[in-house]
Amino acid sequence: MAVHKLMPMPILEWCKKPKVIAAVVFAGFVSGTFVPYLVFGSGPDDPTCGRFDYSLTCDLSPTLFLLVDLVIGILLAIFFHYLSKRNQIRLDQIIESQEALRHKRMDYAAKQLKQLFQLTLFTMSVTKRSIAHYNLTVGLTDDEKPEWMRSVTLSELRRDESKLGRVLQSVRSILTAANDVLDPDMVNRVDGVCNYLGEISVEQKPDGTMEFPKYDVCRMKVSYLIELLQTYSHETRSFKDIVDKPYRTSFIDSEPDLAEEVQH
Amino acid sequence: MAPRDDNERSSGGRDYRKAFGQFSSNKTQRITTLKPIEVLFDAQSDAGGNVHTIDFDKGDIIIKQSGMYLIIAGPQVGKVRGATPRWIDLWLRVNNIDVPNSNIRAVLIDPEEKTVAIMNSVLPLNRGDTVNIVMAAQTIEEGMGLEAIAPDGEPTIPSIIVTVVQLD
Repeated sequence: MAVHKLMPMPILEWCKKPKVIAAVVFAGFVSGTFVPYLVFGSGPDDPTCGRFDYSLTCDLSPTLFLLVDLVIGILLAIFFHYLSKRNQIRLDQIIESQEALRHKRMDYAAKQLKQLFQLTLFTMSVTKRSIAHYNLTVGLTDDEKPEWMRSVTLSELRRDESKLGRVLQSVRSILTAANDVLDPDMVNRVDGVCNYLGEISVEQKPDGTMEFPKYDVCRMKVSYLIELLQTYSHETRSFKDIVDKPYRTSFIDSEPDLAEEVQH
Repeated sequence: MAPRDDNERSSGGRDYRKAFGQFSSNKTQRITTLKPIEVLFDAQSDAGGNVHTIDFDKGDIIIKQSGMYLIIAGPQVGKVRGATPRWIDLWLRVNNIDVPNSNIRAVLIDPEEKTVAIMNSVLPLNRGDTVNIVMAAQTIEEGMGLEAIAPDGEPTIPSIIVTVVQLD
């Protein structure tokens, strides 16, 4: 933040300030009013004046005038170069700090998303186990206190379901926070999985048992995403899309001559 | 320079670099609720050598390779009873989200009438995305839905055929 305070005002912006414009106009007016009179009012030089003499009797010779102008020009150039260099250094520092911050955010988002999806996978497994526990209570006789067991396992099931919901909410929060640093394609993929999982809820079948609909598909989708998140590189700050090897048929099935022979 | 063949041949068989799949259902699927329901599949054709570049699980078509996909579905719609014109809608759903501008409608009047309504769409899909065909009908009283027919001396007419082809 301290870097931002040190940043000088851009020259163009500075030139637009009314006070600066007024100062320039005033300087022009003063020099335009007095300098020509001084120049034209100066008397002829003493013949004894040398090229580099400057005194009450000797005005600046054109050569010395040129040299003085040259020195002033060089000094001004050095001064402006210094200002420009300082500006550039400040800008570079700001860009570097922003880039470092961006990298940190991206690293954090990739790491956190991976962890959250691993947690999602785990929570899904736990939910499925809770469903299995609940389903065990469905066929029990009254002596085995089925109502009590059912209520306990159902509350476990609801707890696991709400945990899954909270994990998905965390994923969405990270997506919102890091959507400016993450690749839009990656954001879409994570969003797609969140949408899919968000629509899934434990359902009761007509026989009273519970089921986790499309569990295998959910698991596969999350696994694909974890695979992708694991390819994150801290060097390139990118994900490497997993491309399957070309799908290859067996030699016999793809033999064109054989197919033609069958047709005849 | 010869144009690049996407399905490059090698001495060991054929390499498929682009994903494709054809899914169908040999079961009649009637609508029993007014809520949208997913169309189920029970068969996947392969191009030889058991190559399945796209998977399916009941009604979910599961993409294994990211890319742009052309999806064409031909559901065979019909109804059991009633002579009143009734509509049946079919559309695409990706990752449980309905795809805009993919909905089609067929209107059925006669129970003897069998119509194949064509639905097509081009979508960017990622590895792990799931595609569903969803249907909904005006009424559940007339047994509207997708009908599989088994004619004598002919192959079974599936209730739906879906073709998915990767374009890029």
